[in-house]
Amino acid sequence: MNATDGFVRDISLPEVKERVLIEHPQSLAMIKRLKKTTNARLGVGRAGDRYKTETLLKFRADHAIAQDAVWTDIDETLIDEMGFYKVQTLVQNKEEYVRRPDRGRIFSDETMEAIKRDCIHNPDVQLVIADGLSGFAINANLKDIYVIMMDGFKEKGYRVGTPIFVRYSRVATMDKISEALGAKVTIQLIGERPGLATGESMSVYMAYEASSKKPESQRTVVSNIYRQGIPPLEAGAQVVYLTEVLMREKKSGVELKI
Amino acid sequence: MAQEILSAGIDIGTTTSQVIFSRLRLENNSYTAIPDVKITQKEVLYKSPVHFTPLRDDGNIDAKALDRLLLAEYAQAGVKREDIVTGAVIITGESSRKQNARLAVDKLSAAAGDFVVAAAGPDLESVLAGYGAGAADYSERVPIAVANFDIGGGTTNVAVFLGGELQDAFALDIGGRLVRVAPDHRVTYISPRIQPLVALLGLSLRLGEVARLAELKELADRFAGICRRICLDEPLSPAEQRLFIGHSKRQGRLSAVMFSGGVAEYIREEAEPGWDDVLRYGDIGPLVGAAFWQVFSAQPEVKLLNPRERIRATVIGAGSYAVRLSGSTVMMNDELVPLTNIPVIRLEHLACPEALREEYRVKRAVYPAGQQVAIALTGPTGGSYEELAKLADGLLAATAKEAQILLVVMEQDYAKALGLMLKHRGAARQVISLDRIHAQPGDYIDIGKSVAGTVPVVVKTLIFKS
Repeated sequence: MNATDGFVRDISLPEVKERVLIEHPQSLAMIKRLKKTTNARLGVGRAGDRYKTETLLKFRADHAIAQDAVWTDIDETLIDEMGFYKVQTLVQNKEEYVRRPDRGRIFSDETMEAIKRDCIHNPDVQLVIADGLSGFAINANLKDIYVIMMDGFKEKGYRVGTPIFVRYSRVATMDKISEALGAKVTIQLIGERPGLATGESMSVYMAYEASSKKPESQRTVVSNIYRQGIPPLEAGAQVVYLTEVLMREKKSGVELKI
Repeated sequence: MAQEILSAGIDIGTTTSQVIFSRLRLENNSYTAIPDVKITQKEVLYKSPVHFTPLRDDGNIDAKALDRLLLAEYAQAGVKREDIVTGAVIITGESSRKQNARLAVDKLSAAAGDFVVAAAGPDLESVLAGYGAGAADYSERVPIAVANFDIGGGTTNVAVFLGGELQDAFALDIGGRLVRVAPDHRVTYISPRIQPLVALLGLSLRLGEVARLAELKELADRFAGICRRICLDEPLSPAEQRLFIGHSKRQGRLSAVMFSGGVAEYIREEAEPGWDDVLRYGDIGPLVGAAFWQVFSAQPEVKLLNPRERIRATVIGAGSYAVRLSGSTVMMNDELVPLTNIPVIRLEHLACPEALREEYRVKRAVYPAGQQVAIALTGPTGGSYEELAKLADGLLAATAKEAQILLVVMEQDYAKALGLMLKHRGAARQVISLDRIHAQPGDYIDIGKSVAGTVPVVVKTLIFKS
């Protein structure tokens, strides 16, 4: 993997996957075009009946990114910089988070009381930021999506609640927070389960009067948010638009026909 | 979720005119709250007969007769003008007639429908014919470039596709009605554009004199031979080179071709054509068709493909393929459309507001002050909030003194974000911001009312113009 300039190429970079490894292709342009349509590992050639070394290493590197995304505790520097209110579910560490999804959906009584005591009540829009299965996703996308959403909410004149960061969080924490604070629209940004394409993909779940008594289908979702997917800014603009729709229709998820 | 829209295609040619109506099916295949709308089906509902374009005695188009003809076709098809959501009228063939045709079309478009627009330019004709003939679709299934030669009365329009995408487009003064003859075999017309070629071949062809069949065939053979040499990238003589309209082909061999257009109706295995065939329409079309069949069917270098449409390729291209859909997250205001024939200004200096402002000032000066323009760009390179904010500020500052709509089209998926920022920072400005649209300087665009969350856009492109 040593390039002529003496540097070792970073095999984990997304652009490594853009390379066509087939030797003497009949039409290089055609393979490149095909590769643009998918994240799958097309046009990688072969060594006998196996992958080439580069393909195998890239596959392992991508898998390692996914592993790291799940097992690394989120770096909270950015969360602190943004001054978000911070809480934690019943989960104590990553291992428990992965083994006990049920405990990642609820808070202790003390935490619930603290939320009620310290945060704005009855907001139009309540933001919940959750590490989910990838803290990397939050750190990669949070800043851009947050500012554009705030621009939009300000322009619409919505009363925005105290943004809350939840550590070791599953999606359903948004219901608990919504119930505690009496929010109209609750918006949760959460790190997606990483795949082999990226470890930085984030989802936005939205619900009108989110409640743990309602089914999962109460939620409207925007997924696949990362630089090479739906850019965080564009996703943020769409979330602003959807918030307007939810506020107007007073419903969300499958009940909403959009 | 699916929605169907009706699209019209009208082709006013040098020789013939046609109308088609097609139904485009739009489907949203997204399972999240970001729609993903695509045209999933194109069905031609009605094809008019091929009419001779009504001409007055002076050779110009008879606008009133054309209008009657079109209204009769709308009635025949059972289509009301208000049902038409999109489509295109295109004026094709020899350019000498286009000015008059344009005036005629301006008069009729009120009856044709709101979003049906006039477009012209030989390259656009080439592209639409290529889509209509099926060359673009075919090229998605094979690993080679596929060219379509649309041979009409006045011109031959060529489009090259690779993997479904346009690679090149050009046009030639080669056609079936460039020489016309009367029943007594006298020549009634020779296009001035082919005179150098006639001289090169040493033909005795003269206006008013009796034509010799062998000479007409020699001219037709030469037309076919030129096209074959163009495919093989072999050299042309200066007189032949002059048949290119505006600009020639880019480099590269063409190894698979199909033929559409009126003349293509004659590109098939048939007996040697004679005077009877020539006199059917009083032109050399059948001879040209036979010559192309002879040249292209008898050689292995260029694969001859069957077109999906022949004489109707261009009109079907105009009716079914001219319209594109924007991305699904856009900033739109349906009260501001339809907008038609909006010239495109393309900006490159996106990162620096001052440079952007200066670039816009220079490029904007080409158009009159009150003119609505569209600003085309690639999109932000990095995609951070700061970068997009800078771009929004730059655009607002550059257009600060204008009362028109701030209309931005871009390739990358940032239209809603940029639109939101423009509105947020630009206070009272009317904003339309669309993405997944590629427009070049010199293009014109039409924008229709949004359909299923996306916006139909026709980019009337002059790409590849040198």
